[in-house]
Amino acid sequence: MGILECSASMSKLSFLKKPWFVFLLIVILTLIVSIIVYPPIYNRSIVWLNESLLLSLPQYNKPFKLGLDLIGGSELIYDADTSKLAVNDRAGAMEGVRDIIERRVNAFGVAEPLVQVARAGETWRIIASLAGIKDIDLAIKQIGETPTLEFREQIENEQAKEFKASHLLVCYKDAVRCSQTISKDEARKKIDELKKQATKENFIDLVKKNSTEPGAGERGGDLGWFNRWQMVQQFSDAVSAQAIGSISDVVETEFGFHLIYKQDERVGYIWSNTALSGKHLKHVSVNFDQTTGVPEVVLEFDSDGKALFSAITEKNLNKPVAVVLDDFQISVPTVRDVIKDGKASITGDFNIKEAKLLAQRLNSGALPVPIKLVSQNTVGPSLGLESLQKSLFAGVIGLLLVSLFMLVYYRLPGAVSVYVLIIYGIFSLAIFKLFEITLTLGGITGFILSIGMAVDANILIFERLKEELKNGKSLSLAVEDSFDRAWSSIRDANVTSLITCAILFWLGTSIVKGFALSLAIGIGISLFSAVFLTKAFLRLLVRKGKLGKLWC
Amino acid sequence: MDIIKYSKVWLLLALILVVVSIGLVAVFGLKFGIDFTGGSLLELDFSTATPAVSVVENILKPLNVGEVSIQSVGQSRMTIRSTTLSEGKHQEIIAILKNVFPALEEKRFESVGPTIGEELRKKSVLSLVLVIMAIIAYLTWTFRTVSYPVASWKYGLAAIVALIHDVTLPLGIFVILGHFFNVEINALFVTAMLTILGFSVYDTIVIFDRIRENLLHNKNLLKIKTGFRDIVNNSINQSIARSVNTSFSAILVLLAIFFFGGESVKYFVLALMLGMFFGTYSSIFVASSLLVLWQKRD
Repeated sequence: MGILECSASMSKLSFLKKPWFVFLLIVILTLIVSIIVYPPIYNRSIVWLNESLLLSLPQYNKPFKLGLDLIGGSELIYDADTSKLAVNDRAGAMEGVRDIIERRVNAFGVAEPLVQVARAGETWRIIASLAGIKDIDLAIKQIGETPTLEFREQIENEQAKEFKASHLLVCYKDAVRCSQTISKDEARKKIDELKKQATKENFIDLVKKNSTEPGAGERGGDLGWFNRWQMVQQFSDAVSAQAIGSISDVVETEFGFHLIYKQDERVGYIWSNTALSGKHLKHVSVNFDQTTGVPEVVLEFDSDGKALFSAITEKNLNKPVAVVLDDFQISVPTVRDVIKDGKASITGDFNIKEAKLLAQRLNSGALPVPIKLVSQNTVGPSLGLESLQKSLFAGVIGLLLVSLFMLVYYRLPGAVSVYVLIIYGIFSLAIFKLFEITLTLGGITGFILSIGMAVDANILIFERLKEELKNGKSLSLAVEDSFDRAWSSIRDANVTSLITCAILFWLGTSIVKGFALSLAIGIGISLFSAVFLTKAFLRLLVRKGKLGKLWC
Repeated sequence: MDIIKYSKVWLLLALILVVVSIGLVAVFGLKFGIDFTGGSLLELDFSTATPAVSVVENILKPLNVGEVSIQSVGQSRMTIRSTTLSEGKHQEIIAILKNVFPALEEKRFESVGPTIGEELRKKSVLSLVLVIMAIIAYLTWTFRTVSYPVASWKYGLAAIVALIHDVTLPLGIFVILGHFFNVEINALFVTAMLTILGFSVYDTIVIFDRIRENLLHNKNLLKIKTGFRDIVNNSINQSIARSVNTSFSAILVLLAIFFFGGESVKYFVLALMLGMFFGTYSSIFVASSLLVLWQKRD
């Protein structure tokens, strides 16, 4: 070792090996990682910096990802009855069911729903993790329904009429989204004045000069085509009542006073369900157009479906028709021909992947896959919070106890190991945050346990150190040797622990998985921290200590 | 410290405890949680003092939920265990209880269908077997260089015997806890056992490593009759501080969780602590003693 160090200091990059440099590196790294783990201090200083130097540096606000048993929520496991499907179709159908359930779950405003397909031997399953869900009862009812597929056509509707218009807005001090400071009366006077002057020809100019709507200067207040639901009621009522080409009287809305110039109107459509639905679909597959090679999705209807589809295509030639899965439009193709053979191809902007996905979704609407709830685990949010607080408290106490023990028993090296332990804790937490690993109760337990075990590698090294010193070796030699010799034990032993973690991960429910993962990460980082960090600090101390001598 | 001197005592003690534990399992049976048996668990908080168990039983009678086991927990909580409840029934129970106790809060609800329970049983057994096999394989490979005076596979076997000891004793204790305090054996308990297997083997390896190192450096000692025994004894003495300190620090941490941590992991942590304690004991007193015993016989 000594010789290597000598030659290293001869070269230009020798400072990389100097303990000072390594120590500095570690300190900087730790600071960065601490910020990742606990951003508020960093954020506060950024805010102060931004204010005093007029910068706009970003803040860092990523939270930890917490599991169900800490936020509260439900985990639901469903068995899917795939007995009626051909074996090849099953995987695809299950993916489709998964998509639909995920969409249904999203409707409940769950923060980060997780819906997965799982397989236990012959049985296919859906596992839904709903963190923070409020109404689990309703969710279960919703999820349990088999997906619905509908076909919709456009029909004319008076209410859906569309208008093309531009407007002039004069807003006042307390109006919604208004930055003007004039009073309501003043605004009213102004718009009355403008109404007197307004004509079709000068409308755009008037808008450009007087309208308080942001961007009115360039756009001339043009709103393009819209329907009545896109505007507030007073505005819609006014524009639908007025004649084309006219300028309205003053219209008052929450935004201020408007003058509306109606340029045009046209018929509006709404989507309406036809009699054709998923139950008429026989099969859906993906084909490639013979000439262009473009992927297309082919729908095949049964005999009833054939007739219905023929009627629909005839009625809606050259118009769009919507394919709707669970109230969501998955495709809106335009009908090109009347289709009498019950087979339709949907072509659009899809690539192969999208086409397959669409076929899956349609198949799952067409082929019902009944699902049954077989397992449920619901944790109320108050229990979740309680568990979280208690675990954190326990963790801190545990860390304190271990630190105390190490200090008392090993003294100075013990102090080093406590310092290393803290760094280890911070690094572990950072990894959990950066890789968005979900922290569950089991995970926190695993993490706290790994703190206890992280000390172990240090203990191994320190016991060796004691021995080497007893044998009469100098301090620096003893430090180096004890690391080398302890390493084989540390390595061997940790491999078995990691094997166990791998098996646990396979065994488990989510709480067990969380535990196994935390423990494994903990072992990994503790290896790094014990070997690399402790070594670095001890080396530094050796240099500073009374026995430190210059080597070369 | 001459530990090997009393090796017969240690082994006998270990044997007795293992037999007693197995006996307890045979007599009282294992109290499995719903993870394994299937069923439902409902945990309620009444905010005020819990009503009598019979009161709640009577309220639930008209709902026809079959056999229920109701328990008071702490001052204001209660758990209701039953066969697997459908969501509908679950909500009915909550509704009818809320009618009588408006301040009732549902803390958690767990329902496991019978098929999942069976799966878990199978998986647990399988993983225990897998871990043990993996450990034997790893140990045999690691100790392949030390076939003399004890064959390398014997190291593995000694470690396994120690492991059996480590897992059986906590099991026995949990049987007692289950019988008197209704503590259940669930997936977490299995997790604890598997973790202990990993940890205890770790502990044993450290000692065996020492033995291996000392064997390599002291080949001349083996020529004496008591050579191997002395080497083993020395190795234990050299490693004892480390073994004890390591499990001590881990147990310290676990104690913190046991007293201050969440309810659901309380007994999990207890199982881990017991396992670690016995694990250290077996590494120091059982595993190495076995090696010496086998060597004497050869």
